[in-house]
Amino acid sequence: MAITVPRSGGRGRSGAPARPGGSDRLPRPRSKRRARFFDRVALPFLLLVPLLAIVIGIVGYPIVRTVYISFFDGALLRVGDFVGLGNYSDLFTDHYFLAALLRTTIFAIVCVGGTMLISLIVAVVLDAGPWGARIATIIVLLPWAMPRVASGIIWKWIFNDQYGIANWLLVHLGLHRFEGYAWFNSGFSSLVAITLAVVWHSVPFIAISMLAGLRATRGEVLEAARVDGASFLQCLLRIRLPMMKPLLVILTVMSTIFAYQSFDHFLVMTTPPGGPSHSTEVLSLLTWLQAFTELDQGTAGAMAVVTFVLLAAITAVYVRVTKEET
Amino acid sequence: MQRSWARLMRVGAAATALALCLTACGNDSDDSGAAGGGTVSGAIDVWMGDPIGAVQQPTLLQLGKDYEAANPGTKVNFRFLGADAHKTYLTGIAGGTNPCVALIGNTWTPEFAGLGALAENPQSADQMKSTYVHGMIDSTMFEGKSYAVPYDTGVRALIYRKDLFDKAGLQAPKTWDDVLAAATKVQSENPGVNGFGIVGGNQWYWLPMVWNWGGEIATQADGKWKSAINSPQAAQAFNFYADLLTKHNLAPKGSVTWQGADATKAFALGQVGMMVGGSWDLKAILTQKPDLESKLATVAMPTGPGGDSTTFAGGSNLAIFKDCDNKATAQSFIDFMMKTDNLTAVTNKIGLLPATVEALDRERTTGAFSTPLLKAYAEQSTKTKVTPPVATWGKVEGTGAIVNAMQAVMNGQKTADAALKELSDEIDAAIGQ
Repeated sequence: MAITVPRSGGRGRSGAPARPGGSDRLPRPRSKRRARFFDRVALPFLLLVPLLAIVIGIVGYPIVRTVYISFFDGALLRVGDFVGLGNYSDLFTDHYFLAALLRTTIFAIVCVGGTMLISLIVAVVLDAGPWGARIATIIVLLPWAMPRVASGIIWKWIFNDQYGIANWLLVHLGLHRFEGYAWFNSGFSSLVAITLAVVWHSVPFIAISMLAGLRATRGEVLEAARVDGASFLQCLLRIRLPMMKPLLVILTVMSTIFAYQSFDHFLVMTTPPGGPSHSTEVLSLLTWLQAFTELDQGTAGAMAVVTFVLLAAITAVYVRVTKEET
Repeated sequence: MQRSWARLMRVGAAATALALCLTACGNDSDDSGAAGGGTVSGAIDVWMGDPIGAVQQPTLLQLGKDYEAANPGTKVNFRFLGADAHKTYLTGIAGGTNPCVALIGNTWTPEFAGLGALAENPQSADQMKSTYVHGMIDSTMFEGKSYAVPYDTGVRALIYRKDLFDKAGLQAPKTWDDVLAAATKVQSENPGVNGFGIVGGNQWYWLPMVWNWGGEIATQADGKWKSAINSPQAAQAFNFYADLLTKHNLAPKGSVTWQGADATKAFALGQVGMMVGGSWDLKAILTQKPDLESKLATVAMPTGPGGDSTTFAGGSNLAIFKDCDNKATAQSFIDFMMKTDNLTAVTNKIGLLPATVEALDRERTTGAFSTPLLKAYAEQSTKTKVTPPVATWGKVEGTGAIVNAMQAVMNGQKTADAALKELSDEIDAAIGQ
């Protein structure tokens, strides 16, 4: 920060310069200095206090409280005995939790990759401005406006073994093994269906953000490149995407967080939530089950902290990588 | 990031308090002096969750008005919670914002009593036995004391296609072996019809088979509950049900994750010959396909090798919360709700049986459950059991542990013995505290 704060070092040492190299300035009268201090240092913070209070209240407190709870036994609705890192050591010896951790990570990688790629294609098409692009932009946004639980139920119907349109389509494409194929009987095929549903839901926001980013790269640089004979693809890969890099990093971070947070689709689409036989359990779902059905908020707190640390680490890596490259 | 549980609870409690204030505070001015005393006067809050939905709400609101008219100076403030009632109650318990009277799921009763949230039911054990359906009384108990009165009860029975059975020369199944034989025959003779509606995703359609085979879910010794699911009888029951799907192919493969609604839909579409189903399932089938009514029949649950044909008693109880400051009015309102006419007015709208002996007798002999199609349910309602009355039983249900075990057997991931061993450990971890 480049706020110049008048040092109080001159106070009481009459005759000495108020600050090094400040011999050309006379020490100001105290009241004026105070006023300046107030204006430059105290006032901004004072103005920030209401906002800070809100942020600390709704972000800081829950985080601190979650970390605190994670060191205690959960006893129904009360905080139980202090167990130190007991909840954490329990977690990392629980093979269902470890499997969920790995599953969530793989799911997130596939989701983020799929979301970013499809969003980019959508954004580039919309940016190229074909006929009806404006209406198309609005239509693209629609899935985003849909409640996730509702879209989860509809995707579950799409993948219904008896009446679902997915099986009907696949069979008509000649893939007869999908006749009555039960998508939600195994973990892998359930995850395929859920991934599609989640990607479908996250593409709109990312695509519209990318569209805005692409629009911002139109200008002299692009024109110069075109004049020099760069192809459409060259323009996109060599000029526009590198120019959008900060945006792309933020979008990647955001969709990673979205993917780790995916919960509604898992809850609605699998029976029982996280089933069959634990094969679609992800971190968010396990945390919820621990907190609200096992009423063990200690373990749930520990799971939330693990997720938090993991996401913080991933975000830090993303930011570091971009910083190094630019 | 997952917000802290406690924080959520507080926000929820605050929101509930605010909502309550917005809806109820306006009426509170007239209840001064009523609290604590024995007089029936003043306002009470009454919360009702599932199975009270939009269809039943007008009936209940009318009952509230009737009560107010019969008891001048009282006011009944209803709040209908919908399907998420369990969490709303838990939030209320944590935040101290519960109503006076609540309709709660019967399996939640020991849980809420264990949290110290419910007021004890003043009725004696003998009084209860002569008033309520036996299987439902157990669901109000926690550590030897009753904390609620049974309100409605729902049981399952066998629903089958009488037309297809007649065509094949089959009688109504009496044992589970009859079920297997009949389902196999119906399926082989009617292309496109599945012999049996498997409901892999909902334990209440098949967990009672453990009782039918002579096993137990959990047993009590020295006041402590312990899982008994790791038994040969339970393994045989699990294998029998899984085999209906995996060995005999009597249902579509997707039925591993089917819920009751999936089976009733398939049944209504004429794709299922027989299923275990509650009176509400029967209602769902006939709503979707009214002309099936003449082709359907119901019969009480089949007997297993253990000589038992018990099914689970689902249903709800009416409870008074401990923090209620107008218990006299709350109790008088419950007494009013339990009067046979008032009770059956609601249970008929839900399609469930009333849980008092008097009302049940009337329903069975002259009431809604005296029809040939519903008689089996009234008959079955005397052969029921409930889940272990332990405060932490909800953990077993909520995590889907039982369903996961059955699905692991159906998907061939585990043998029944291995799956039940793991389930047994999970049940002990949950209820053995």
